[in-house]
Amino acid sequence: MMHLATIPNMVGGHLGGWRHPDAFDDSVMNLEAVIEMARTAERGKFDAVFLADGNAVREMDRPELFAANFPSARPAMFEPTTLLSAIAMATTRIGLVATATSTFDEPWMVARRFSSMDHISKGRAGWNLVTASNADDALNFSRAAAVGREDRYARATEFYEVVTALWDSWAPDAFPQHKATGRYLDPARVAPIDHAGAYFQVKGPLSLPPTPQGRPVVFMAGQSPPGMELAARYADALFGAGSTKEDCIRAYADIKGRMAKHGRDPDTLKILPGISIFVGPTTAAAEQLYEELQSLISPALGVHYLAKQLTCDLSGCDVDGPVPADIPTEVVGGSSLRRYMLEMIRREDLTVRQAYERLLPSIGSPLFKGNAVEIADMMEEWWHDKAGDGFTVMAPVQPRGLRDVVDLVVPELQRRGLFRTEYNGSTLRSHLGLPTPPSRWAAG
Amino acid sequence: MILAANGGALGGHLGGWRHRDAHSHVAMKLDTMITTARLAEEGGLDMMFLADGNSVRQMDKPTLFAATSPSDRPAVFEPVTLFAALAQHTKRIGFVATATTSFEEPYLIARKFASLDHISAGRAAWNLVTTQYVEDAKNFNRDEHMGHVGYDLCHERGPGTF
Repeated sequence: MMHLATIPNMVGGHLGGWRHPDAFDDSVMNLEAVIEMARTAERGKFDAVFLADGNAVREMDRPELFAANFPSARPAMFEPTTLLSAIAMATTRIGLVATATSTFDEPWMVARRFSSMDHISKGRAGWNLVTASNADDALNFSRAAAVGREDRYARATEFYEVVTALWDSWAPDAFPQHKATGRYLDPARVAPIDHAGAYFQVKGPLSLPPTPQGRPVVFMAGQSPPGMELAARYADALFGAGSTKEDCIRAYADIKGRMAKHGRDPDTLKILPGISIFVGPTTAAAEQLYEELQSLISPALGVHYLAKQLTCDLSGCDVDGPVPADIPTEVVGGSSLRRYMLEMIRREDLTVRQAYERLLPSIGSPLFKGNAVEIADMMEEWWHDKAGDGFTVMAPVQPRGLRDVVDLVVPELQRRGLFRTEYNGSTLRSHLGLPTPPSRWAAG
Repeated sequence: MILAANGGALGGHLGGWRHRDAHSHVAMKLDTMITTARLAEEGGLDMMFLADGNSVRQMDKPTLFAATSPSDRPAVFEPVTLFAALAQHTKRIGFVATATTSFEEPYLIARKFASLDHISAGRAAWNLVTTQYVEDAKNFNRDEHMGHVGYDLCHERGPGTF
């Protein structure tokens, strides 16, 4: 069975998404809009909604990019655990995954917020553990620069160990709450964690009993080698990334192959690579949506991304003039995608605007475009070839994009027996088919 | 007159939770918190308030611990996530959550409370506390509490974070 998560990104997954006529008119701090999307995903029987996050407003030093809404600038965002606690009240089954960073938060605080969210949602909480590599984030936490990768992952490893130990502080039967005898709790069914390590000294216990799904599900991204290693050791699920099917197959085999040395069954980690779905009732309708969106990419964003992909400076260029001829075809560390893009620009004599409209949408997460059958064909093939255990679906325009996936693609996946027609369990752990987590209180 | 309701689920009397009219189970029962918030709102109260701490206290005195005293807090919701949920079941009542300047980052506190204020359409308040309990300090890389340093940090972090 395929697993599906989605990112209820209010501005859509396409650079021009928020400008489309079918996009939300007001997506800034619009709680009703987020609830509507979570309910749509639940109607589609998705495993989870997932909120990416960061702790800084980025790109302020580039006013044109900033004004055009750069995707990771995050100028107006809910704090994810409070938002998902609210969404838990408007949904009953769908998993709720929030991001929190091990680099700037405290293990006690993270353990507490996510346990609380799991109790509030009755077993639907997930924690996406990230390490926060962005320098802008560091500047909000009494640091002068980004924390180095090695340091971040060493801290993340210990952070995870402290958080999961805190989640296991109490036995599930520790609270008899017996009015007649006055015995509220059983002191023999709790223990401090007494953690003392290189980064943290945490006594415990946590001020919450085990959660309805044992403990929250832990997601990671697992991009860099240390990230992949940490995921292979500890993650329950992974938001994978790769720009092609081959990349995803390679990453899938790599991470699952690292699990045996940690004594783990590869099936206990679910990998969900991100994909962008442009779907319509017909192939032509999907193509039309795509064309409409291309023309809505703000030049500031288009030029920025094109320059980044071509590793060159386009800041002085006329957007309707030619791409400068003096960009070298080969650069150190240049990708095959870069070479392919430059060849196409030269061959077809593209202007800067034509180049970014043509090339940008297929950069980043893989593009799945077509009618429902064509999309389902691609998803089935990727799933069958072990590019993922499912997908993290991004839709270009909200709320239309997610609604179209739920109304067009999901029924086709269900018809093929690839996706659930009803939730079988009530927890995120059960949706993902994950085992009961280990506990020091387990019998035997 | 301004009235706030203390939302503590165990009741305000040491024997409160054992009374026949008390909730039969309160540990991590969201429904009991929703009931309290709605009752307070029906009564026109200004706000619901939750005291808080970041440790489980009295574990070294098992008899006392088993009988639970009000500030032991062995099983409590994290207040800001709880109020974000309660805001969906109420329309008017204010929510006052406690957060400590001694162990939490100003950026994270500013974010959580601003987010709660958006989620509740303008009903959030922050009860700023400095933490004096040694037990809490031991959950945050410290052997004992911070003494006057806590108050210095408090002045630095108090104004201007929102």
